[in-house]
Amino acid sequence: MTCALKLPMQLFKLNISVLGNQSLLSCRLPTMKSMDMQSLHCCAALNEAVTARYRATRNRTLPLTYEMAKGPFRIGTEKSWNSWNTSNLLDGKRRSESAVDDIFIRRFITGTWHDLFVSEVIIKRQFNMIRIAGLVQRKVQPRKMYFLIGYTEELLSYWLKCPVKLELQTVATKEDAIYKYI
Amino acid sequence: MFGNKLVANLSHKGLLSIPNVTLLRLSYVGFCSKAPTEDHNDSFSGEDFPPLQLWAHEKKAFSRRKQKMAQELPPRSATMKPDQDWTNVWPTSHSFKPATVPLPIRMGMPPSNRPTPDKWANAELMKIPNFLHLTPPAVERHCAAIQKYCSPWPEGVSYASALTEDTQNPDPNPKKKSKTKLPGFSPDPDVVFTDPGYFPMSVTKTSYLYSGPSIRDERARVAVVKVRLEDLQLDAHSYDKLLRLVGDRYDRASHTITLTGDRCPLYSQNLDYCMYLLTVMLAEAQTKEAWEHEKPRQDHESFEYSGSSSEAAVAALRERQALAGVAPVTEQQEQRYKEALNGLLNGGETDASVTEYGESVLNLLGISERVHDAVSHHNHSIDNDLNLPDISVKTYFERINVKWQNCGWYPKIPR
Repeated sequence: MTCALKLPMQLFKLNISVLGNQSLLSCRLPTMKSMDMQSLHCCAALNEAVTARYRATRNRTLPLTYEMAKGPFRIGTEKSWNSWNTSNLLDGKRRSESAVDDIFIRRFITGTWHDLFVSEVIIKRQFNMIRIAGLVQRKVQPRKMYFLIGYTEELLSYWLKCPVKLELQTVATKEDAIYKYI
Repeated sequence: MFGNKLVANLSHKGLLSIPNVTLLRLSYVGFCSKAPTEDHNDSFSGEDFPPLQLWAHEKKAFSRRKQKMAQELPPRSATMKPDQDWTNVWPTSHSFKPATVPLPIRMGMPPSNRPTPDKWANAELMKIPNFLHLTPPAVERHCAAIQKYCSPWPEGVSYASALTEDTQNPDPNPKKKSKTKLPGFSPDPDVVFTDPGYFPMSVTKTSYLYSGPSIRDERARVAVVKVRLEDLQLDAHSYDKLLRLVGDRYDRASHTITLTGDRCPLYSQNLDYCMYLLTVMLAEAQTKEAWEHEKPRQDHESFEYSGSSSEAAVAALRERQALAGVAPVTEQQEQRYKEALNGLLNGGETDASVTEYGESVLNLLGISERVHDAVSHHNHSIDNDLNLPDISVKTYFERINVKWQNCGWYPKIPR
């Protein structure tokens, strides 16, 4: 019994030393008094506290978009998915193919539209069609942007064997898409 | 040499024109091989006096050329008229465009003490599917356009009126309206064969739609055929034989046979196989083999009183009653017993059937009152037990405050 209780306490101490976060220590301690083996969730707590979070700067100068400001556990409540398809539904088909295609599309867009996308690349699949949406800053001439749209649509539809449409919204500068500074 | 450098630097910076005596004097010293004269024919005179380029490729600081951006147009929604045709503005499905939608839409969770993010530069609004292309006028026009491809509903089909009545004559009180239920698989038996809208067989096909380049799905090959057993109009022998052939494909509650074909790669093949299976099974059920008369009583599909051991027992009872000189069992008593037995064995064991069976047996044996009961034996004193009740069974149980529970012969006494 003592041995069983001792082990989680050691784990708990390790958790604190790694984090070095006093607030975590203070808020977790009362639960430890009445804890048993099952109520210990070191990894889950760490996950929620650390994963996909940006470190705040001292003078609050790090700009975050809405997407960056909301953690992954807020998907479905405060923000929605960046990939919309039926593959990830129950009994959906082409799961891996859709995921790999999405990665390819995102990489292609990031490279082709260099430093122009100020939001995440939103990929929506509808029947045979792929719609790519996002926010683009008005940094280049309109004719260049028109060229990029046609170029992207043409090449992606050859590669992915289906019609691809770019549905972009332009913003004047990068700052327009900023949600908050931390 | 010092003078040369100085003048070169200064001339580069454009400072040579400064009327400074010292500078001028130095320049004279540095650049001219001879003392300057007042001769105007000399090419080196006045402002054209060129600086000496000692370093041919001198670095020049270029300022970054600023691109002239095209003038930003005002949003389209600002110039929209209230009576415009929205279906022309938003004809098909498209991601949200804030400049086109003249609505003050907001979406998202704001930081504290800030308003909700508006429609401009809002990626969340672009993610979600919108139905701006499916406004009621757009749907109406779409229906009107495809109406020429539709055929009228077949006349006389029972639920055609139920489907069309509501749209043609809308009910003023929709809350009070009772839902018109479409006839399911078990319609009213009186109208089955007179109703041209009744189809005795249902064939189910499932199509699957995906957001992907392929329209193929292996689950779409499954064909399901349902037939109501009454519609096959079989005699008792074929009915029983068919039930044995289909096995667990028969649903007792709805009296239907369900055949599922999924072993072939195509739907039509599976449907053909189901039809083939149904035909073969019906033909097999309707043939009577030479050995089928050998079926013993135990294999009968239901209990039959005639020829049963119960009938023999009643006959034996009659014989003994005749020997003892007692009035024999009447036809009515036997009929009641027969019906109770049929209800119990064919209809299933319920409170009513078990009670009725008990009553009918007592009636058959000529016992009008029950004199002894297991419950009273266990739970009551001997005095009470000896005090034989001369009342009916029902009032007896009421008197000892017994409530009927789940099973008929084992009443539970409340504490």
